[in-house]
Amino acid sequence: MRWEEFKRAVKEFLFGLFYFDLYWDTKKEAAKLRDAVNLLLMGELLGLPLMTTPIMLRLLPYLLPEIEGWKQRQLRERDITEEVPETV
Amino acid sequence: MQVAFLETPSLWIIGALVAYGFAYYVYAKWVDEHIWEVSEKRVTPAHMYLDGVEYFPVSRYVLYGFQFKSIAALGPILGPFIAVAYGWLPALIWIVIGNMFIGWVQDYSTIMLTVRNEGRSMGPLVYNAIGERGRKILLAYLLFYLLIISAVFIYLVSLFWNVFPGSFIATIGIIITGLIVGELLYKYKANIFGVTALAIILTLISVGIGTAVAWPPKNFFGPWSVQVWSIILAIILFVGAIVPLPKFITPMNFVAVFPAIGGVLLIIFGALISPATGIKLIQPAFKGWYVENVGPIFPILFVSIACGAISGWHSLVSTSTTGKQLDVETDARPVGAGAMLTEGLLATSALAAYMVVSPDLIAKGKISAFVNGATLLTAPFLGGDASKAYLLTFFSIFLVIYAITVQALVTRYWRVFSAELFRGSWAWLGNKYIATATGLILPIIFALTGSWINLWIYFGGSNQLLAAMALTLVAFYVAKMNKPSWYSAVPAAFMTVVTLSALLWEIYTFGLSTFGIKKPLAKPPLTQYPGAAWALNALFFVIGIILFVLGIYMSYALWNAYFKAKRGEVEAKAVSP
Repeated sequence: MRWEEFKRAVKEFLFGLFYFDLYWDTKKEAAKLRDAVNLLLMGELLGLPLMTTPIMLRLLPYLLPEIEGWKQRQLRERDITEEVPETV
Repeated sequence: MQVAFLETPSLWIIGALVAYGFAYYVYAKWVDEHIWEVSEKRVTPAHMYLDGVEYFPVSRYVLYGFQFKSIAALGPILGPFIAVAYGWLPALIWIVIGNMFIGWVQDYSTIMLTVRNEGRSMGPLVYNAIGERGRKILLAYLLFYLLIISAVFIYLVSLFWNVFPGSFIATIGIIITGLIVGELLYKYKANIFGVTALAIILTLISVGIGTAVAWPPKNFFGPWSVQVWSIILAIILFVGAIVPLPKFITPMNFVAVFPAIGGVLLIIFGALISPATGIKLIQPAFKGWYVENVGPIFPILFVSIACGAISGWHSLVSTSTTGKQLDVETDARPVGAGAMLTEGLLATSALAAYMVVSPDLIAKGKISAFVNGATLLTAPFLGGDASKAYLLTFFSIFLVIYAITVQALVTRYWRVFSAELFRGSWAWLGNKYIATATGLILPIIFALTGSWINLWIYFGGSNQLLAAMALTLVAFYVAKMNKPSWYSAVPAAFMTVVTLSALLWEIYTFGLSTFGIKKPLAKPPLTQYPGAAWALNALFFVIGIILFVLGIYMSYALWNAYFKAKRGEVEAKAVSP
């Protein structure tokens, strides 16, 4: 392993050890809020009888990159065992 | 002072390192290449279902660090305490053998199960193998498991607050630190490295204030002190479980990881340099096959050290999170096997902390032995006698903070779990406030007996049985792939026998007191109320029977599915490489 690669490995390991949990939890919380907004704005895409508003059309360019992931999260069948705390 | 190398824990830590190296570089590599036939080219769920939130590829080094942080909690630290009652040698042998042939097998293989099954978690994997009833029984089993684990952690934190003066004040200091960190990060968007430095400084100051004040003294609330502390803890946990995650749990977890990892590193270092610091092995290598109030070496030894050798909870973590973020299949070995074997090293170091304390502390069942042992190992290179008071508070806080953060997550999960489980006319039990209160009141009642060793054995037994189920599940899927399944089936058979025997032993122990053959297992002040002590023993007797029956059903169903797969009676699915 070269020195540069070793340094990168140590850096990433430390990130995983100390920060990844915080990073990921924050990401999930942000996604929860965004998903709720998306549901109100674009629920129609999932078959919910919500009226598409002009606001949604104006926001569409900003929402576009997220649509695929959002639809996937909303439509995926979930299991309670997925919610287990990571640490015990 | 220098002592002979062989008289210190150092040699055993190095020996364990060599064994774990063999497991990783030889055995795990063989399984990786010949059974799972991993390939960098096969697409993982992280890429297949990329959504940037639950499914996204993460570097192997990041994931290794995260997996280690996730699995290395209180289990590997507290478990060896009970096991060392038989002497340190049996405990060491089980930690090393358990890690080499069982622990990593489960963690690595369950990650691979998820990767090869479109990112499915434990519930759907069990459903695929044995159907809806099996999945429901798994959930019921988890319900009891959560109650027992909560009882253990709530009791331990309360005990530590009672025994170590100043630890409560230090804990409050760290909780306030967590709240400040949460506000700085989420409200003021402060720089993460600045916040990290502040969190570490405030944590160390909190420990310092706790040490200096050394208040409240032991038994501050009289004979019911531990119980009063547990109610205070329950109030903190209740608030923690109902407020949004970024307000309490997320920043607390972030703050807690620094003293936790720092403490672990200090203990490992202290054990390795023990020949130079003169800290000697004091515990006898072997004490006997049977220990009063604990039980026979078989099966109790194998369930007392749970997470340090093998833990069923890891299979849930591996299938629900890690497996969904694996970049390429070849990362499963460093992440799954590597993190588990590193945890084995942590368990070995925790054992080293027990090896150097007075046998008297272990014989009396004083869990504070860990704090004393860790202080003994680390004080010589951290200021000697002058630092002992600080280190005692630090290591007690190390355990308390670990337990509180884990318990806050478990209480929250219990709430989510209850909302999922209780439907129809029982839906009120899933209400946010009622479910959280239930998840705290029931464990407090369980912990009333003060017999934490028996609670721990129930915890270890049910945790290990979960591991046995996960290993059987792995064997089932591997058999479906027409690959050699012995590497998982043999450990699964061993763990099934061990854990069901341990549960039977505890049923027998509580049965004796339930039917009046022996005095109920209880500690003062509950001993003054024999009726209440009996009722709790009878409750544990019933819980033991329920866990045993659920365990038997799950084991039967999974083994049956495995043998069908071996005979080729189950159609091959997409899991084949």
